[in-house]
Amino acid sequence: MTLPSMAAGPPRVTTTRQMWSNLLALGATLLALLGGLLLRESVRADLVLYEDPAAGIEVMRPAEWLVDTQGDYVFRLQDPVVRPFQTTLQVTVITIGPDATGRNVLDTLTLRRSSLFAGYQVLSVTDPVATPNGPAAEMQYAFVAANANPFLASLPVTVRGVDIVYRKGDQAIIASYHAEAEQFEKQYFRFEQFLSSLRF
Amino acid sequence: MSVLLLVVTLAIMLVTSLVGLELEGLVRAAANLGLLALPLVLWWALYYRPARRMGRLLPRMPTLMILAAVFANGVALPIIDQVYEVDAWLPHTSGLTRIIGYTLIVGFLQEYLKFIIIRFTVYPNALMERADGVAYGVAVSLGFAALLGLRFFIDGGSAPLGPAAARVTSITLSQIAFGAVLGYFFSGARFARQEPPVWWFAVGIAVTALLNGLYIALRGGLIVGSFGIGATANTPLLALLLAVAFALGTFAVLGFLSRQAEIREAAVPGARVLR
Repeated sequence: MTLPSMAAGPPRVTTTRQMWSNLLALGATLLALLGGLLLRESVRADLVLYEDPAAGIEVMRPAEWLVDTQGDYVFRLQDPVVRPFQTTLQVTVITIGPDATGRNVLDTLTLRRSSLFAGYQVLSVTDPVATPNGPAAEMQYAFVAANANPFLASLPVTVRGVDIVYRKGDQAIIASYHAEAEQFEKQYFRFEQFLSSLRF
Repeated sequence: MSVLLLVVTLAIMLVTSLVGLELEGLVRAAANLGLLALPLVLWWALYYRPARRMGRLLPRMPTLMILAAVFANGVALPIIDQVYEVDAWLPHTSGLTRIIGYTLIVGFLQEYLKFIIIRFTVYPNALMERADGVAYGVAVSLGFAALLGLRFFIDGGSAPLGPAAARVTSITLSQIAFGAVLGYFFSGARFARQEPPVWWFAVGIAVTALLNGLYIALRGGLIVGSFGIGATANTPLLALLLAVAFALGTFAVLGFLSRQAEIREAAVPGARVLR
């Protein structure tokens, strides 16, 4: 079998080994693309749609995470596997005045949390930040979480958190991410995934 | 060429940052076109023109570049963007998943297309020296990079001149590095004393694809993937530095491997075999 060549010189004969080499290259590429397809399906299967019609919010959530709607938030998702502090994604909606800024909302959150969380400390506030849902205000902070059960002796853990505040009419939609300080960077992609799928 | 491209890019970034230059409308479009043309002009001035003057010009290089741009636009990007919709799910996964995903989808696809462009046009007749494989790999990658840069401006469009220059240069340098690695495998096959094993090109594509995956995951995930002004303020420069480090590292390793191969060839008596 001869292959046409655009370069100077006589056409060269393709040996059987070269033919197999070409086929192996094609096969490896097709296998890789098939692997990519499986990877995509596996990543997508890991997420399921969560909707809260009352709040008008929908988001793709990790399928195995626990959903809690009993607190002063719209919903809270927690990773049941990670210990001692369960990595948390949360959406809260609060009513704000017409002139309230993202910074005002963050200041209010700081005041409230200072009395709720031990060692609460704001690390940074940035307004605006670019997010998948448009500009928002961002606050990063840390606090100390102790086990609420007095019968389970364990050391308190340092938790890092981030809030993203969106304004929508007279509402502020706050997306929060809390994780043990050592897990924060490792699990951060969950929050990015969460934000990129968040609709309100 | 890479050094000059880097110097020009840094100068553009510095000047636009100091002057606070913001271009609009046609001027911005013209500047974007200039940025796109810059790597090609440098390649023409530093490689193509001198090689032609000395009668050492490798055949069909511009044709291969155009072919690469056509393959990138007509095959690679539609599959990556529309079939796999990579941007919709992969950037927000864990670091390891990103590396694997970009390797399997973007890396293998792009490098296989570059492989068939060289394999079924100029290989093996046009490769007369060990460096020719790398030269063809770089030329094909420049065609790919030009198209990727063009799509960056068409799809994103509104980046200021400094970051846009950094982005175009990052794309170009990384693509040049990938092309050089692929070209090394072509040279290895062409100038080996024995016919290379059947897996030679498959491994070449896999290695280059893995480099693609590592580079894209590092650039997209660790440097520009996170949101927040604090996180993104220095990203064009960081992304550029990453591409420079990648290109320098790649060329250093390839240079070493090529020298070793030449030393081995010189030590063995008998005529060199071309295949």
